[in-house]
Amino acid sequence: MIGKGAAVSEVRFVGVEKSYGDQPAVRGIDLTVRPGEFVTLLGPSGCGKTTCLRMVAGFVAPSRGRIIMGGRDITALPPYRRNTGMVFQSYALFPHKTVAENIAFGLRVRRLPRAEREQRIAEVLRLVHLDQFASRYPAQLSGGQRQRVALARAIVIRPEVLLLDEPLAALDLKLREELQVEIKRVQSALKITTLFVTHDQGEALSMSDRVAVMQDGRIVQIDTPEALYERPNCRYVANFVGRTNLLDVVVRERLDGDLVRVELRGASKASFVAAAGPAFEAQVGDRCLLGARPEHFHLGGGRANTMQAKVRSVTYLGSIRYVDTEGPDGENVTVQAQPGEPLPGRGETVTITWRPQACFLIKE
Amino acid sequence: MIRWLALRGTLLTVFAFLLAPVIIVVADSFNGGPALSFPPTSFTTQWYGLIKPSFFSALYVSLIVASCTALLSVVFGLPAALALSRGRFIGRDAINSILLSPLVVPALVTGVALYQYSLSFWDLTHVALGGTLIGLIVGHLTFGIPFGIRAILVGHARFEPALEEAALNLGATPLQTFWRVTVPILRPSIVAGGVFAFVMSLDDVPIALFMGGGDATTLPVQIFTTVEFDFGGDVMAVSALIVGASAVLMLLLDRLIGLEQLFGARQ
Repeated sequence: MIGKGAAVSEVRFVGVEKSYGDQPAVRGIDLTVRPGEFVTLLGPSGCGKTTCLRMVAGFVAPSRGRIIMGGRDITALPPYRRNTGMVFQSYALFPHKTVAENIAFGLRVRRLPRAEREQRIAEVLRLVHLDQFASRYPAQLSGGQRQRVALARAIVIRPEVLLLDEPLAALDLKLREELQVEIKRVQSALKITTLFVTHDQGEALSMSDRVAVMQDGRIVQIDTPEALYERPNCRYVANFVGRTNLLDVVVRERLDGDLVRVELRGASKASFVAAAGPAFEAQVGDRCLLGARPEHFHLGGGRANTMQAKVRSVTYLGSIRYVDTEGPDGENVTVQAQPGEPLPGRGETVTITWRPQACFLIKE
Repeated sequence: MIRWLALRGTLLTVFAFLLAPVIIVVADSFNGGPALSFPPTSFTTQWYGLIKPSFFSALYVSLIVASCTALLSVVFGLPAALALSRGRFIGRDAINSILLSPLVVPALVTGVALYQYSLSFWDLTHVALGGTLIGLIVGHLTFGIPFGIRAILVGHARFEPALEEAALNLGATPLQTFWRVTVPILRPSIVAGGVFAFVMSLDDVPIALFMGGGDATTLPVQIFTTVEFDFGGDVMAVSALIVGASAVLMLLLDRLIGLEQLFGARQ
């Protein structure tokens, strides 16, 4: 089995910074990827996520801080002494070598005996379902097959950490979804520590154990996909991960348990009850954002929070139907219609209701 | 229809224009009548038997010089091309322009200059460059290296940097990466650069006139001087043989690496 003998290492960023000239790209990253964990760096282009990945691979030297892999400080090691396995967005398969030769490359430079080399290549080809393609050249493969070869080439050397640099960005939607499952399956089977870089929140949520959302060279929130989606800690994360309604409110009263009564800042003074998260320490009078996902809002029904809104438009996306409305103070409020529920017409006034637990508060 | 005829007609005219000298040379090499009469009056192969030994020794010189020029052009050209395309240093653009200059300066001017240098070199060191194979090779490298660099630069423009990163990531040292990834991927343009340098060296007269002579007389110079003093059917026979050899070389290259690749026409 491939996984046998594969080192499962922890990867740690300790106060890592990187500037190009006076242009900061990474502004202080402290992050521990636990052994066998799948961590995603999520953010828009230019947020520093790829730079972080390339610092682990050794292609970029940090301006400050250290990178620790398996308890060893690797900050000063050249790429070829690090034992990381990287999958590139462009595949980066050697065009003059066959699939088997591509996969053999890392084993050859490690001077593995021929018998073991061939055994490992056969195993990894089976693992990525490419047994029939060993003697093809990269040009003879489809995009998805090439990316699977790139994955096989990266894991066959039994790296301490697997580095995935937007590996699915060049593929079409259906293939992307297939390969998400495939990569996750291989990663779970090998229990290999993985650092994944993407700008696609869907990929991040579906594949990761934890997601680190990055902005301007910093990690703004790192959490499990569920926590990130249910309890984003700032406007940026709430907007970046999934669709969100954010209402400008002021804290009016603390109620029993972790419930808080808030009031819209606009003229309507409509008030709602929201469950504040454990980390939320709001005082009466504090300005904050009341957030709720479209699927947490309902059209009608008897829930604790209610709001009158006027329908602006309806968006049909097959399994999902969004009703875009105008709230009491003119704010955009999007509601996801329940399956089978009749849709309201444009200009109609609807009552939106939701439970206090189905929304979150973000301090501004 | 008229358009089609016009296109075909133009194409035929161009081909006729290009092939006319070749046809006359090949035809005349089998001409039994007096030299340089066209069309041939009778058929003979005797000229091929009458080729003087001096032509063969000149051919030998030409092949040695062309081979060394081709080899050294890419040996110097590859690192230079890599430095020019990847490095960021002061004067890079200037070097790029200077490298084009041998393609702009007439070879005769380069020949005169090289001759001057070889005389000064003799005065300083009492080592002769003029009239030696080394001198010829040095002379031909003045255009061979720029051609080598150009060809490799063209190939390098399509080189994907991530390929070298992938090799380093898989544990290959920079040296292993160079030999196992960079060179094999650039091989078509390296071969193209070498072939260009080889052909240019084989074809050169002006530099070989100044730097050659004596034991270092190349085939074109030998033909040139023979035409001046002793023009006969054997010169036509030699020329026809060169045409044949060139055709065979082109066919071989097309089979091995493809001529489109060689001339950078394929994307």
